[in-house]
Amino acid sequence: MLAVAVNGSPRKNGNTHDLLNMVLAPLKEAGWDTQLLQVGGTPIKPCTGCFGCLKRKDKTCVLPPDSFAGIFPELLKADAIILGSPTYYANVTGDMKSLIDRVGFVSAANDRLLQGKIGAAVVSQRRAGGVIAFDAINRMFFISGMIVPGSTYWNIGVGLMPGEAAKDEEGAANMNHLGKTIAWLGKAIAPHKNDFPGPLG
Amino acid sequence: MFKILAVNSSPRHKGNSNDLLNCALKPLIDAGWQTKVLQLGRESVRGCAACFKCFQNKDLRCVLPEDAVSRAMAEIFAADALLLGSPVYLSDITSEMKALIDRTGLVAIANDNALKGKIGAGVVAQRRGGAMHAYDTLNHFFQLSCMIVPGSTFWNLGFGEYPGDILKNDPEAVRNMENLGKAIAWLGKLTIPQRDSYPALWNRYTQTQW
Repeated sequence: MLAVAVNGSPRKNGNTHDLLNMVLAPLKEAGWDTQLLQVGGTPIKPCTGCFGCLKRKDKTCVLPPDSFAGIFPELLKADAIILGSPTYYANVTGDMKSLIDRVGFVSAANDRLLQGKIGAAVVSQRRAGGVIAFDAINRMFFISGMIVPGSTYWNIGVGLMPGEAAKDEEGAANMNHLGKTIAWLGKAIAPHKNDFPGPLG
Repeated sequence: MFKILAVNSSPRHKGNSNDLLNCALKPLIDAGWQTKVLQLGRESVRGCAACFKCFQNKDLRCVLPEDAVSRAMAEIFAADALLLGSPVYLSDITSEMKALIDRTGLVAIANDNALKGKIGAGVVAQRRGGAMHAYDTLNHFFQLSCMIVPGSTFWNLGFGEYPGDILKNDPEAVRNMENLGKAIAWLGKLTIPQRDSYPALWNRYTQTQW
């Protein structure tokens, strides 16, 4: 089984990166393959609303290749997708939003490639607004027919400078539990992903 | 046999929110689930008093005088899945629904996260706008209670002003709710038998000094 996490922070080794690794650790222990990819601080264009993906229906986005091209195929292989972002003005980073918009739409255009997969959002915040960023990621999961496991709290770690979120005891316990829950859920549903009810019944 | 409880927090017991819930329940009835719709709207209910007596008593109950919330709470703990339906009041859920999720959520945490591994979904009826914020509110309750939330073909909302509007004029909402019901049936069959092995967890609330 494969879990693919994507870091939406332009700081490659900051709090968001640490939180994502806290979620992946129990999955590795449970024998999953894991990947941690980077979208924050990479060249990624926003969705242009051209509907090219709907016309071509070849599981790609028609924009010239940028970091989306390297990330999307890995997400399609995954049983669980974990998207992480810091909180910028009570929302996700622009790079993460560009990824969410294009991933969600290319999936929908190709008969819902993501349906039945597990999705989880992970957010770092200094003081407030993290739950709104958390919601922004989850909305893409819900509209794509994905399954979102809850945990002991909305998956938020508190920190400003790199290393601070790792000291947030409650956040760390939340991420660890989330990883274990994804393992539990994946074991139950991943073998049956193809039976997930499609949009037309 | 699996059980799902649907709670309608609209003061109109036979309006659009109720219709959304019934659209979602239909595939579950077909799949052999036991289903029930509980009418919470218009009931006099109290909000959470944050007394934390539920943490002292640990008996799956709230100590406030019995009301529609405490009756709904008992049925929620007995069910495998939960559907919460609300109209949009000023871009959010109704106050009866808020009282339900506040009190049920905290009693659950007080009792070793009694909702863990159950399935939850929120459905929302709006005239024009605000449903997404109400939908987020319902999901916040599920997501901090260790419940599992399935997505559908869209966010679970429908457009209607007068009773019957959604069934007549919003076929996309009807299809979405039916797909949601099927998704719950699929998910429930796979996860409810596994609930006993749901991962152990540590919840900060249990360290409360109240």
